Amino acid sequence: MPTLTDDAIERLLRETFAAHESLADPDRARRLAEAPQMPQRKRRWTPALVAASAVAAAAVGATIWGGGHPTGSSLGRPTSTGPTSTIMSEREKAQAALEEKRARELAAQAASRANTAAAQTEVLRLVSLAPRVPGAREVPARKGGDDLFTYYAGQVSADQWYAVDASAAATMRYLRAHPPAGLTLQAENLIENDFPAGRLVSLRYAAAPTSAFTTPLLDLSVLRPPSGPTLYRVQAATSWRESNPVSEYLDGVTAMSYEIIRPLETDPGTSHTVTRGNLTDPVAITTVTRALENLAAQPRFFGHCPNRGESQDLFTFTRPGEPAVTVVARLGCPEVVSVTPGPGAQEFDLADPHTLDRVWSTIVTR
Amino acid sequence: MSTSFEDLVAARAPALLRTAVMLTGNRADAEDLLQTTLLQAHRHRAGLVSMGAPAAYLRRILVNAHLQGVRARARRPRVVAELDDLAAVGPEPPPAIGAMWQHLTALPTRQRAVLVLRYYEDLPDREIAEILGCGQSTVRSTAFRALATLRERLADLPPEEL
Repeated sequence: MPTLTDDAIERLLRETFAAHESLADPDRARRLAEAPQMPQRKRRWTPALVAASAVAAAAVGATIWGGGHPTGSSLGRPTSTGPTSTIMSEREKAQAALEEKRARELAAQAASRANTAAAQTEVLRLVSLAPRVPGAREVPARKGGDDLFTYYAGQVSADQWYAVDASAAATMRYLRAHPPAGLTLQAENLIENDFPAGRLVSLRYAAAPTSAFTTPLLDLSVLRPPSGPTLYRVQAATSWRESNPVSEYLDGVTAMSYEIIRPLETDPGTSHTVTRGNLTDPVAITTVTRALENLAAQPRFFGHCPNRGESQDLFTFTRPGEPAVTVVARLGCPEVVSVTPGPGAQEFDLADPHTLDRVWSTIVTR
Repeated sequence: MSTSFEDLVAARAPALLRTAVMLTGNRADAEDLLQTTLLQAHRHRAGLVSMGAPAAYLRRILVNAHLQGVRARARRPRVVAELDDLAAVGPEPPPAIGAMWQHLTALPTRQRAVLVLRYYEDLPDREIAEILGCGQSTVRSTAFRALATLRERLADLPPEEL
């Protein structure tokens, strides 16, 4: 058997790497057609999911308690088959817990799938709203560089490139003159594009967010490559939401402390006022925890916010025998409510800190 | 006009994802690795956008996040290949390329990283040493061992398939 030379191995290595580059740039249309493979955070469980799991757990319990009885006839009569069958063994408890966990997982997966599907439908709707420049021809998805960068977990996106014979300026004029119906122009950006290389002029439109997905965005971008026809891209994206898991962590709260941080108008970047206090009134605490439970989940934000001295509300919820839960409502950039269930626990985000702030302002006067 | 963090990562993310694929061997782990990288980069965003070679710094974060994350990833089920991955590569890569990819995946993480940086990123040993935090002689010996392993494992391939 001949031994490979260094040159031959190096050549084969380069060819192998090149052959697998396409893994980094899958066709987004195909992604949308199939179940998306999004990075997902560890799931937690909402009241609805807990309720679903409780049903499952009850069914499991009924089966165990009922012995050989049909499940339906044994429900509600756990003691009828004698003392040995009324007490769940450790093994049975473990089995019930396992079944409950599985039921929660299935319910969470179903909820996530529904939100994912809604996000996919919305993205396709936005793409369909984009104006089609006369004479535009669809071109295959660009490979190797113009991927939409994912700022949020769970992002769903779709894009389509078109080639037109008109100039880049004329193409942009047409796009400006035909805004997508029902969408709001949010920004006009200049974006450096890797491939094809050049500067994109991009119009960004926004649609309304829902409890299933975050603010959907539609970008219409025009590129004049060094040679060939003008290209423009229609790109839509949103992020599906996971369920709000906060209620799992707010049972049995007996006290809460707060810090209200507001920047000084004269020097917002570095100076601020802080108002601190404690609350033990159960009604007030319940008002705040309910407000938190009613917020929609928000995918994690990976972008960048300049330091402009943003307002924040910080809450710490005390639970006997449990880790304290801290909540930070960021009222500037990014607008998000971050929840940390305990020391070292995974943080998760909720949307709409201003709603929480409005509720909070009815309890403590700032 | 200064470059913002968003501009920087938007420009570099596609290239980082490609390198991540070469390091991890599959798209799912590569996307996880890219997210980890960008999260770490975000924590140091102020310095990142003002430094002279932010792209090199991002690559360094990526490679080291990969090396540090391997132990954690080893505890969970590993994605060998997704349907999208297989479709993206094509129905059947040439045997030599398929075998090389398989053997690359089986290499120790650090050895694979050195090969990716040397033969995919085309970096000189000096830069690879800086990224990995070791000496150039260590880079050379690691590459030597990796190539020797590949040579040995590819010896089973019929000559006409090379």
